[in-house]
Amino acid sequence: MSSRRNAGSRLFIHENFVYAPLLLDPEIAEAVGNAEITGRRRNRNGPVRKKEGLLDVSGRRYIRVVSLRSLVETFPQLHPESYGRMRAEALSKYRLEGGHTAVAMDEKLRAILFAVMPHFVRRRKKLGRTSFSESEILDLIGEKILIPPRYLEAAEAFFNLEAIRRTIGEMDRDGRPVEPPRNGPVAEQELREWIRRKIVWKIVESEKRRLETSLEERERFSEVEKRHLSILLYVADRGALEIDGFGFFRIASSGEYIAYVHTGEYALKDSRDGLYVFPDCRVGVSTDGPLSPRVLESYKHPLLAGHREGQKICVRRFFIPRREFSAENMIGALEEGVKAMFYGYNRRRRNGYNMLDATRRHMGMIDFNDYLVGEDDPRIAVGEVEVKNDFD
Amino acid sequence: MGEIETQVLDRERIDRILPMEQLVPLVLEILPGQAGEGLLDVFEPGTYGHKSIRELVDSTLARENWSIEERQLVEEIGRQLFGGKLLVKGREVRGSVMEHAVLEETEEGEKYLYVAVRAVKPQEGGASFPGGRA
Repeated sequence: MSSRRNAGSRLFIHENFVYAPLLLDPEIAEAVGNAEITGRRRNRNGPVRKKEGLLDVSGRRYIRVVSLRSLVETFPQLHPESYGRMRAEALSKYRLEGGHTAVAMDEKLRAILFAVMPHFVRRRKKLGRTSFSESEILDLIGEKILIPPRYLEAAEAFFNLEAIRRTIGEMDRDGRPVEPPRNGPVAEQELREWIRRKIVWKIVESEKRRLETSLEERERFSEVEKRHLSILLYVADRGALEIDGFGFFRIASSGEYIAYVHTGEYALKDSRDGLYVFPDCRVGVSTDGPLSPRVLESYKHPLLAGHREGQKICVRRFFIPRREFSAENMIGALEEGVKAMFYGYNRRRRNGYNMLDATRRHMGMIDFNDYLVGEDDPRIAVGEVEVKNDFD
Repeated sequence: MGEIETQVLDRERIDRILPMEQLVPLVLEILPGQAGEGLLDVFEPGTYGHKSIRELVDSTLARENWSIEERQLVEEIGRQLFGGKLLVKGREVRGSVMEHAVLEETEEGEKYLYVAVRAVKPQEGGASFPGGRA
């Protein structure tokens, strides 16, 4: 047994566990002394006698403290700042150009973009076509939205597969598995150094696996035009978009989304054929919780209780909003909301929270006289504004 | 026919130049609810002028040679029309198709008549007065 290894040793390694000196205590001594000896083994450190969790090494007693594996695996949680520094230092020699390693688009955003939006937008179409592929959707966005150059640059960097392959190769060359320390006494400094090397090795191995996955993903993406990727990166980063009356945005606090449809200006008739032109508003539905349509703006309407932002639309009797988000459910909720705003007010029955032509008004009742227009209003005459509830 | 360009020509010019129904096809689009696009059907010249929009819609929905995607649209339109209405520019469909058609032209210069119809099932919101509650 090397005197160098023993010098200052206060710990003992045995079968991947760390043992610490057992302090002398009469009760413990009695317990140890009465313990069944499981057998003698000779090694360089002298005879080792062992009871569960206890070691007796040449008369010195040790108690099992922790496994080497636990020391390594819990280090990031117990020492997050140290771990962060170790990680940054370990990966600094493998720095890759380009900030985007993947298109981080969550499933709800993907559903809104590729399943909900196509239902509500119109594109230039060829006769007989009804499908709206993801590529066509991205092309449409590209036509309507000016994508900032940095997203095109990021798309270029994303396709730099050679750099990733080089880095993985370097990690392979540098990485050697770190063997556990052999059984025997170990100095604290030596144990600390082993833990550090082991953690660094795990960091590099983990990063290498992540890069290998990313490489596979980028190789699959290679047929997607760089422009499409830049659009995906833009949408995923901003979490918001509006095209042709349909839009959505991410709620910063929760990461959920609100998708909405613009009504545009429209007109409603009252019981005496009076015409009211309503301004544009957004009928929106959140991906979080019951899919109930609301008007996002401060707005008044017979089917809204007041004149404020975010009011729930009184859609119809027995309307039970779906709780689970899906593209189909969201489309249904948006359709119900817009339909209610347009057609839900029956001018003869004067249903809803407020009437267009109330003969008597009580406190709090909403007045719509500022929306009243003449029967010869040119916007209605030329069809620019449609009367929505002109049913018999 | 190729891609559609929405060049709407002046009605007066249309009436002056063309006995349209005999010369140009009619493109009927039926949109379910608030959808941005709908089911398209093309009627050859001479086959649609005497018919109402409702008749043309029924004829379109009765066809059987739709693709799978188009059949989904047909089903959605059928759901809307069950207890619902056909609207042209927000108003219930009345009269012949020629009263509502607009003349358009493709990129290749082919003229055609176009009518967009929405199938909507309007339902009243809330409850009627007195009561004051929706």
